[in-house]
Amino acid sequence: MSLLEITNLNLAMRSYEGETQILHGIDLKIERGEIWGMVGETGSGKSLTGLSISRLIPAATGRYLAGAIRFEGTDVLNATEREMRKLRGRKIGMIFQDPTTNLNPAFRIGTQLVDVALHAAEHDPSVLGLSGNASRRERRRAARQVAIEMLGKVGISDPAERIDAYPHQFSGGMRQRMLIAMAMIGKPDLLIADEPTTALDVSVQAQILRLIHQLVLERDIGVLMITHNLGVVAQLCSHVAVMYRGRILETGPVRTVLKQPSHAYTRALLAAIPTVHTKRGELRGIGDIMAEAG
Amino acid sequence: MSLDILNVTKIFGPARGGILSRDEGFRALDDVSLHVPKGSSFGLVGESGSGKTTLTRCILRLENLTRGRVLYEGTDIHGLAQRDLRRLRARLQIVFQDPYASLNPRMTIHDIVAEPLLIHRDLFRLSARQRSERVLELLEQVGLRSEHLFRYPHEFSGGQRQRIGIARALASRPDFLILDEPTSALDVSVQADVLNLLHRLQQELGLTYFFISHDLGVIRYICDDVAVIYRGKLVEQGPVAEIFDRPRSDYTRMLLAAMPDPDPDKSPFRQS
Amino acid sequence: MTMIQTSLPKRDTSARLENWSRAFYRFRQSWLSVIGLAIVAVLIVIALVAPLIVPYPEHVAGATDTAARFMPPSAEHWFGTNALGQDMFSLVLVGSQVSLFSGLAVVIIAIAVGGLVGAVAGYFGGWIDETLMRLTDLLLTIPSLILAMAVAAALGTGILNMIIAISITWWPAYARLIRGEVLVKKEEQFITAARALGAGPGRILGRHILPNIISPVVVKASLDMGFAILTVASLGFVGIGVRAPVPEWGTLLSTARGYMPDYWWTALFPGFAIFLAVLAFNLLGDGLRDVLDPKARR
Repeated sequence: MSLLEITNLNLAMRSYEGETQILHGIDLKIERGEIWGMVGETGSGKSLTGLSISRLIPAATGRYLAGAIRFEGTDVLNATEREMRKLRGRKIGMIFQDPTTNLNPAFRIGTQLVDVALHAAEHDPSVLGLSGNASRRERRRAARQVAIEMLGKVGISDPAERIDAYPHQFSGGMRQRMLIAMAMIGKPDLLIADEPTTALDVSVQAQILRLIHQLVLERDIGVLMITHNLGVVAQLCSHVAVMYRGRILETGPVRTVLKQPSHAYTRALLAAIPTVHTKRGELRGIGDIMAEAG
Repeated sequence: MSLDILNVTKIFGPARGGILSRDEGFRALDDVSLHVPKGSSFGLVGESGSGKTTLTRCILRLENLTRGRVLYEGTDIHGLAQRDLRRLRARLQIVFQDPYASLNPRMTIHDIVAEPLLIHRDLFRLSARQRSERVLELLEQVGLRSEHLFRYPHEFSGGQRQRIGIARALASRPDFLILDEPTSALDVSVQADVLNLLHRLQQELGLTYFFISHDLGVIRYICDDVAVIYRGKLVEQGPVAEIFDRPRSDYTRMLLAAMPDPDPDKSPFRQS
Repeated sequence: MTMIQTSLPKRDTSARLENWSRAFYRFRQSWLSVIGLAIVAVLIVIALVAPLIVPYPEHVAGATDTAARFMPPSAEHWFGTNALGQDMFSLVLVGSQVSLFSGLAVVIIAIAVGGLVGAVAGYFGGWIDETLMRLTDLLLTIPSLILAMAVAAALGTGILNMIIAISITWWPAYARLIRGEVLVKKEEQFITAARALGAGPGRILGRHILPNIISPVVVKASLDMGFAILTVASLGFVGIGVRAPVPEWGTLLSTARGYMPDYWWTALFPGFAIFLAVLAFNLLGDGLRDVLDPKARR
């Protein structure tokens, strides 16, 4: 059984213009220990694929025309909301692009982490390392201990002191680490990271990538890294899926796809990145290439 | 037209305290000096909080200097009277990073691009019809079509919006363009198109570029010279090839190493 | 400069039209706001044509018919008649004129004055801001009903004085709202862009900032219309405001007070009219908020 298996996922979204199909037959299989990169341009459907895995697309606007998502055997699209809450924040951790808007500025970091830990412990007491009949106070104390450990693990120095600080007292990179800590506290099996480093400086980005890589080595989790940055994919990911207009054009081990791309679009994406050797005026946009490819 | 930045220091006001207050304020720029030669592309590299945005605001005099001078063809921008400053602003234009935030959502493309011509009507003296013709010419120059004229910004993609921003910047026939991370909000494919457009425009119009970016690949592609700024101080500057191939400072070396290379074999995680 | 040979495209309005139909689509998503809009539309039409369509226009002008006092609702007098034998249906319908007109006038004056003060304070800041905002704070502390009574005492009762009195206490709220919005918009990048182009304060305020803060003002104005109608009615109820014989909902209600509960229809119908108008404007305001500011939803 795969950790995550998406088969023939078709999603349509309703808007003023009427219903339009956004995802066309997405197939994707993620195993433990794999870091999947999902690359594509704005509007290619990569973020919606990520949200679908946690079933976070509002039912009022989104409709699945066909397909299935299986997470450790659970049929995600047909699960009850109660079952989904067990998965979210516990089995499936999520990190989003903007670390500032995803932390509540009114609460201390510790409070937010402890809340997540307690929530996760409701479904799996082993998160706190306690037996099921521990008292409330014991649970709180244990949750705080877990939060401190987690902060230390994502590379925040003096976690025991800084756990009582507020989000605004940290830099953007630090806040992204906290979101990772929050996503990891429930010991998830799958981490979905949607453009986690796009808002960060390159030096901080390098640290975050290292952190994610370490987590995969230590905990043997699966990662879906949604990004538009092929550099990030080349560095971090073991596998890659290239998306274009709601379709996956090609998938495979990262070295195969990036070194010998089989699809013209992947080649075009690679050719659009200015490198040390690109002469001025030689860069080619995708528009011309896709037009030629038809 | 050459731009000289001489010993510019910008300190953001110390919090008002007593006379004995030790708070010196925040030193956003510390003794920065640059020379941007006419007709060239000058790159400025730095991470967030390095002072690069403050520097552009100081050049455009959207911010006052604490110390130093900014000379444009020898004239001190910060010493100009309001009227002369307005004239100068026609020749010194800026393209912003965020194509979503930098266009007024309530104005049509026509009105956005025509605005500089209206603001500087004493310089251009165009009739309404001539203005519209000039707007069309500008849109064509940046690769947009005439049917886009009376649409609103939200109907365009990021790349198209950035073209609109470029058309607006070119409307008043500037000879110096500040490009503040013009492609960092765009997809790589669109980035390539915009970079090529900028390159073409520079050749056609003889523009001087002051190109700000945190993307070393982009800087290397488009710029002749580059300066690296870190925490308000210039770390090093020189021709692009020299700085990138033989960086002298640890900071530049770190930046170069942190750039994710699209070659999977150069990953630090796959040393095995 | 190369001459463009192609003719200029016409300034077409299709983009604007599409924006409107898009907005109406979002508005339609909530049937309550559609009901609000419908009632408001009906009220406006009634206010415009009331004198022409009412069955007893002479009663509206002040004529009495003592033979027909306190008739209960019937086919002849839908809302019954009052102590003077006047047809309540005619009075309530024509009464909508005063309520809607004064409500609108109050809101427009408040937006004009508050908008000017708020925009100037927010844009220029510093001591201008301090001075203007302390003045608005001062006015915000005066309850509008008390001030209206004071104005009525000083200048005499009457529609105009009532409108002035209410407006004086209402504009500060708009000044605060608009100042806040201007402060936020001032930091937007397209404002910096306009400054970099060389635009002056007049253009930046008029062309760039104000058009972008219309939405919250329209929403507040729509919600306020209901409260303005209520305030006008309250003033009528306590006896300052509109003078007889001009029919006004609050005055009608106030007169009917003495005849409750036996002649309930004299109070019920003006009261229901007030209720309906206030409710309709509130529903409309909520609907507009959903359209104009989707972030504030739920």
